[in-house]
Amino acid sequence: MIELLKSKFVCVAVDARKERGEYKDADGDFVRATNCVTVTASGSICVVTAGGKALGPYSGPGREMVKWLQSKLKAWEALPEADRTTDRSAVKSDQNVDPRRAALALPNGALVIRVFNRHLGWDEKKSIRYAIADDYLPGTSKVEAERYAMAQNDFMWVPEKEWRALIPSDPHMGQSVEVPASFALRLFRWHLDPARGFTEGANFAASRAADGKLTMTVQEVSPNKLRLALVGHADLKQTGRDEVATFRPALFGYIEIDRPSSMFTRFDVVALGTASGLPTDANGKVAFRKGEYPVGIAFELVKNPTPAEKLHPRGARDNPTAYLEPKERK
Amino acid sequence: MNRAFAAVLACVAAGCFSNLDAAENPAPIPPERFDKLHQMIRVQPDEQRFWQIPWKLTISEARVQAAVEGKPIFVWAGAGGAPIGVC
Repeated sequence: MIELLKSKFVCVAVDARKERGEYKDADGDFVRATNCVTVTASGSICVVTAGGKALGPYSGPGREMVKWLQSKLKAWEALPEADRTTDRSAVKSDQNVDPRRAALALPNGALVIRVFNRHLGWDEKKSIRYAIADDYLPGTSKVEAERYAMAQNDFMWVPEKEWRALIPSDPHMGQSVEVPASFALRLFRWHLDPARGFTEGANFAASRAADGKLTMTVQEVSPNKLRLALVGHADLKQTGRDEVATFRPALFGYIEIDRPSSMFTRFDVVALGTASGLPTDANGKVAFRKGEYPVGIAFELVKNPTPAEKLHPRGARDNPTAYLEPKERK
Repeated sequence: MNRAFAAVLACVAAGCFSNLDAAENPAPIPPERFDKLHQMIRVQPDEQRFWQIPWKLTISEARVQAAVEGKPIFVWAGAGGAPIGVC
């Protein structure tokens, strides 16, 4: 299916709620006119032409997807020539972009960090292992359990002003500095959330910088290279509908900078700790697991982001300014 | 996930977190275990295969490319955000 999509289709991933209901621009108009996007919790799939003719939504089980795609290709090939060829100049791409869409574009100079959440399990010796079906609530199918055990996905943005502040101005071996408060706030509120990938809810959005401690220590310094070790921990809590959500990870990782260019060349960090009361579904109910369980989160630098890797972080979705410039609440 | 690979990584990572007691603060992550742990948590080759697709993030970008290449457009939408990440 992946090869079919790559070779025969142009693929686009969008926010259904925003495209249908918020954005007042050419893309939003196209979505509403073609009805190619539906707001449902499970998402929607549709095939359309560049000219705006909808070839229909997909509503079947996953294993039928390839047949459905092939049928849509045949339907597309059967269209009149005029419906299959669209003058690219007729596509109004950059005109009058809704400011709410524009606000979610990757800021100039920002670092892009890929974030992978993974729910784990403990064996009988309390050593971590990959999660298995028995870790989940009774009734969870093997297919569901395998999906829950996979790495989930998000991005972290670090604005230029902030990543520059991460670099000590006169580094020397063994020097330790705390990270900027804005960096800690963003991390604690949005990127140490075991619910990421399971639900759009955010569990620790009210966190404070004092809910953890992150220190960077200079491990290597030369005219060309600076290596910092990031060490820390966090103690995150938020009242949930049914129980308090918690995550208490230790953090460790390496940040490397090419000093002549001030370019980050490495941002490999791991957070590992115990979660409980997570994740919650859209109704605030505890889903998937009960009790305490381990969660690991891995961060890594995206050096040259593709268009898709410029996708905004979940944390920026509703208020990009509060994500990029987080402030302590009074 | 490749189960053999998973088992190896789990065994490698196991020793350093046997003291990860849920009732106390998490044990610090030993530097010598960092690489294996990072590798264990990050995406594996057979996960998130949809990331092999060169997704566009706007309809207009997709329309331009579809017009140039003569292809239909596959639209994947999520209620809480683009389903390749924001959820």
